[in-house]
Amino acid sequence: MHLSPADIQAIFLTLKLASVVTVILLLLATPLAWWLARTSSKSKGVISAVVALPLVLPPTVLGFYFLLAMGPNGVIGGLMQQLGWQALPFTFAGLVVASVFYSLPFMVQPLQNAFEALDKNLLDAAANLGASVMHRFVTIAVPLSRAGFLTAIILTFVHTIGEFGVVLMIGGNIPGVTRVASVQIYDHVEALEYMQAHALSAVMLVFSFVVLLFIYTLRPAHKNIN
Amino acid sequence: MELRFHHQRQSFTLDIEATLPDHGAVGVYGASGAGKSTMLAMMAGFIQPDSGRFNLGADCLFDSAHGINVPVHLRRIGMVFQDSRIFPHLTVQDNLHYGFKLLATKDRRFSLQQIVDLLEIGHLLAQKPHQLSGGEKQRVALGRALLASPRLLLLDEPLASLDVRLKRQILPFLRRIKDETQTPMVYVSHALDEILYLTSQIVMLDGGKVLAAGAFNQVIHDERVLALAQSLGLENVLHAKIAAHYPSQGYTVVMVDTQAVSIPPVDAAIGSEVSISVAASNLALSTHRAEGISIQNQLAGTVTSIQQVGSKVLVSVDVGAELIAEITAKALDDLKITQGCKVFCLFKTQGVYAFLST
Repeated sequence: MHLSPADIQAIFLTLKLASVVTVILLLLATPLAWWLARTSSKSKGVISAVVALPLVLPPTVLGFYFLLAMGPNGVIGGLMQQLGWQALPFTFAGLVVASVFYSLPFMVQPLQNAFEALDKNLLDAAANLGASVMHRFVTIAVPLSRAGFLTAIILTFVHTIGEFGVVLMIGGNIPGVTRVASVQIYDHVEALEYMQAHALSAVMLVFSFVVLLFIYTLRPAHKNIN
Repeated sequence: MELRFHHQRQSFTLDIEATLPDHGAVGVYGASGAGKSTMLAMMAGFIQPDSGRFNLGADCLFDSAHGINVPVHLRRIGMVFQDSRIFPHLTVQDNLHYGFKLLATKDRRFSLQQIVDLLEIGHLLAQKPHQLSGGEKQRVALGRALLASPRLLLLDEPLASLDVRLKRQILPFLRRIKDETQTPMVYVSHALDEILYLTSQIVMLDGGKVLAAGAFNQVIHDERVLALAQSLGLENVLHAKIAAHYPSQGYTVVMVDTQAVSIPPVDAAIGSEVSISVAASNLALSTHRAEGISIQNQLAGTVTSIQQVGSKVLVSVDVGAELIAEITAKALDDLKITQGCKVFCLFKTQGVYAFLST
């Protein structure tokens, strides 16, 4: 049982995609989760529902609409074409954009839970000591929510690694560009290369298990430090 | 400082108008729900009043008519809360430094060392908050607020969650802060003895309104103030000097003006200053010195005023300092005392509560 160069390439592409998506989501979802945790606005319900959509929708549905929107005749795709940009479907960038939406709830929800559990009194105390909104967030909210950040980052990363349907719909199957591990496994099975499918699947299985084990066993200890 | 806050929430209306001294300490006194904490939250900027104005020195921090509302973090008003609100993820030293580090060097009025010495918290610097006792947390919270060099220090019942023993330990630190840092303070409490230990300047709040403001021994003669103070447990606080210790007999003698008073043993050198408090309800009056009685303290004085509050009568007696005794209307009839009468104020040694002045 060994991994072929194509398998290794698929694994690295998968890790690259998951890393890029996690970083982008960290930047996008943190302010969104903060807003959702603090707001009493009426639009909170609508936004929450949109964020949670990828949890219930089949990934193919999501992928299908992305394909339509980003294709040359789509709203976004047409606009991009007019600006002289490359269309997103069947590119790595396209995969990133689709995955950001697909993994959004996995980043937003743990962060939102952590922010909602924050003691607002501590933020008030920090304001009273002269800390601006941003300084309060960085020095009080982030360190006190680090368990939430850890969970959100790991879940987003692992979930993006496990993505299949959206990738297939929007990214196709281009080696080194959009052929991630899950698609590579699918190809092996289609070609009846069961040993190779098995090798790559085992890597994914062990990796996912170790990560989840880390979350469920190390997190309580981590929490105690707080 | 000048404040005028108007605020309406459901059934509660806050309508406060007061001019407070810019130096020294002011005690804000009233029952729970009188609006004391809300008033402080408005001064700090946590709650925006529906309308009003708040000037601190020459600066306007809030003025609804001109759309001025300086945000909390720019007000430079320190606050110490009942729950210390120490940051749980930071060491004591980092907590103390939190506001200090945000200040420009020229605005820093104290050094860490000064505050650490003042509050005697040097041994705690490396500790995490969960290792601290309630009293230690409050001292750290005080230090943290002071190191941010506030122009005004607000104290919202900082001792309410502490037991009696700890209160007696912390109160002298508050007095030190007032005396040594020259930081104006507003001290909110429903315990009159705490306030009077710190200051004689008080603001009485009742039902969201200022009932009276000024020196305690002047406003207390307002009948409504007296009624309120009496319903919350009226305390006499006297300043005294330690004269002698009798450890084997279990008491200490202090001098109030020229009269000796026995109090429970205190651990302080002869000649040092203490404040003692006696509840008005623990004072008995007699028209002549009582013989064959276990009560040790009999202070001679002159009746200066007699006021009826409900079924109770409050008799003010000048014993070199003013004492207020709470007696029944029947007792007043039996004693036949009037203004100008010579009387003795009787109270037990164990009924006296002493605060050291450090």
